[in-house]
Amino acid sequence: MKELIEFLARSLVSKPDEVKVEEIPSGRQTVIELTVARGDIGKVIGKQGRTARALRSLLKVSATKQGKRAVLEIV
Amino acid sequence: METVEVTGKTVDEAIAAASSKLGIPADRLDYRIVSEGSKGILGIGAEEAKIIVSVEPALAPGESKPAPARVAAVPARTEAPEEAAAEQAGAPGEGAPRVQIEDAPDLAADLLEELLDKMGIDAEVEVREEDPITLNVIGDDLGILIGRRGETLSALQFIVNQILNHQTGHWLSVIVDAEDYRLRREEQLKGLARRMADRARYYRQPVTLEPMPPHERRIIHMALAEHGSVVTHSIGEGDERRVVITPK
Repeated sequence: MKELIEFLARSLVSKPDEVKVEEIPSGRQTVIELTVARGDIGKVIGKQGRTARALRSLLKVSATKQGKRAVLEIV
Repeated sequence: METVEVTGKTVDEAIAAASSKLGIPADRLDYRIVSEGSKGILGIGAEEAKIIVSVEPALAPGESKPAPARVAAVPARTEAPEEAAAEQAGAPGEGAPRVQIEDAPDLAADLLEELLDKMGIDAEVEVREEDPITLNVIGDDLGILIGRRGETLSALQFIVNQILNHQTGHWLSVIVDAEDYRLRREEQLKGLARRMADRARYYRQPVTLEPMPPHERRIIHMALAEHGSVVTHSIGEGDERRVVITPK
């Protein structure tokens, strides 16, 4: 899940080196915390949050495949 | 970034007006809805819908013709200044794109394969068509990838396009399908369109369909465009927008 979000975020931003992804387990759920360069936040959120919504939707597939639940937080 | 305020009777009309005024396709406008507008009661208290459109300075109204605006609108997302400058000089292709566009179908397929691999989905990607670029994912148990009403598939398609656009500086408009879902859905929608048109004609009453995404509504409109006894239009906003089939 972490690799997926890392790959997607790096592919979308202008400064891939500044992409950081943390996987924080909390109970049955995993929080995937994504950090990008200031100027790149718009790229991972998108117009009206479309990109963020798409990222969450793909993360959900990946999590379901592993029998887990995951939420994406963009910080 | 400059912003332009555009008003219309509805949000859709404001978007259409902004699109023709700026020469940017409606689906590529970067806008924010200020007011949804309301019809008021018997026309009293009616309020116009208002949107604020963000425009690159070079694209401000009056300064650009529709055609170059379309080209220049692409690098707006990449933020590579030299590339944006080259494209705005009006020569796509001379702006030294990072990839040859002839490779686009393979490039898109490779990206999708890597993405599926990272998602933990064991599947193959075939290029079904080159123009428009259409990728089909083949594998077992891809229902999870398609999602309810194809929503997950749409998310996948959206992300693939965002990444390709960002990496190539070109808007490629790739269609992503899985287990021929979109093909089957298209046939299903055409059948639905014909049956509902018959119903509208038989009962001499308009028939309102389920809410559908834009490309699905387009299939309905196209299927009935030549129909002799009904006309179609859409009502509602956003996710609630649906096609109405009305007998002539």
